[in-house]
Amino acid sequence: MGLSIALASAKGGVGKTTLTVNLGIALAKMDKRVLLVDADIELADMSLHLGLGKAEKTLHSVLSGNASIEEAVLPGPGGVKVIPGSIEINALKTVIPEGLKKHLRRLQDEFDFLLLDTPSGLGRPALAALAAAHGTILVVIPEITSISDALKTKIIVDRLGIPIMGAVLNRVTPGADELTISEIENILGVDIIATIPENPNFRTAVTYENPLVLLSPDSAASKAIMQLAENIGHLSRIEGFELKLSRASEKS
Amino acid sequence: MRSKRRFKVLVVDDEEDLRKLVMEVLKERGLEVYGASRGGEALEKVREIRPDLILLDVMMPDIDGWEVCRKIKGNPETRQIIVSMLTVKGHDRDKVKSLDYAVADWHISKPVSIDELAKTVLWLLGKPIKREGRRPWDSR
Repeated sequence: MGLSIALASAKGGVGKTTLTVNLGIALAKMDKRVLLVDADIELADMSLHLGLGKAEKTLHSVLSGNASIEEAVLPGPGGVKVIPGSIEINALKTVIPEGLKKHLRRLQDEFDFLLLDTPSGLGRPALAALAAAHGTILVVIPEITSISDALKTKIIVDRLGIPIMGAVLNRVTPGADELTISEIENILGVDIIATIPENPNFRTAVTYENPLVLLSPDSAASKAIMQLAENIGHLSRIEGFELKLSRASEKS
Repeated sequence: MRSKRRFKVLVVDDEEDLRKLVMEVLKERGLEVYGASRGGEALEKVREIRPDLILLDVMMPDIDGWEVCRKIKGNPETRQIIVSMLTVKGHDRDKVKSLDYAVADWHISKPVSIDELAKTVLWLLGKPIKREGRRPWDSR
């Protein structure tokens, strides 16, 4: 049975979609069966990151009762499978976000990892996406508003009774005077399991619809994502299994 | 290069023993230290001494620390002062209240070791903390 992981942050712009896509491909490189789910139903754009074009069946079709979840699965780059969201605003009208958990359970035996790109904010779509996963990885950037918003997500996830597997410190500028790992761990009360350096090629990668771990596998950011994938890769969904990941080491 | 002026720190806590201990430790770290035991007194001291950093308890007899922080951060003349809450109120929702509602720069939960506290104060004095987005006064 596959392990579903929500990559979450109430704050937008922290790189959730980029991280979800690249982490999924990194896990697929390790021969894991990976499904990427664009659960950011209000602002779905994973298909743009992956160069999938306009899909006929999307998560929106599934959540509106117009397609089965199996029909919405598409092949993506690097060996991953993808359930894209619809990029059309109208598609949101008939969607029931709370159906996500039930639909995803149908696919769990077919994958080792189901990575959910979750919406920003703490509204109904975000709650439904968080509730659909077995575990949550918080995505934060080294800014105080991101930490504060991550705390809000943590409060919600705790209420849902879903374990927090750790936090990824994303978009770190090497050498910059930013919040440190230990300070963030202190205030967030969650281990930082990876730090991903900021890389201008993340933008290029989206423009060329080719994720960074494929476009530039030797970059520091790609290597950090591969390391995170190795950290996660040994986990599996066993009842009662503690979803505990190794901490990232503090860089001096 | 940093100037040789010593950083001024205001420690606000109604527990006298704790306040004195924190002040002593920060003094040993080379900081110029002041104390206040009430929220109102803290606001007066802020006007008087213009500290670089304030360690601010939440539960005080007159004005609670979150309100004190909002007043400091809502005043264009004092909003640049670094404020960290230092409180036994350590739930995640309390931290969010410190960072969002009170617009504090940081939140330290008690109990905290005295070494850890001093380390965090020095770190706060040396690090510009990024804060994106709107603060309460931006809507005015």
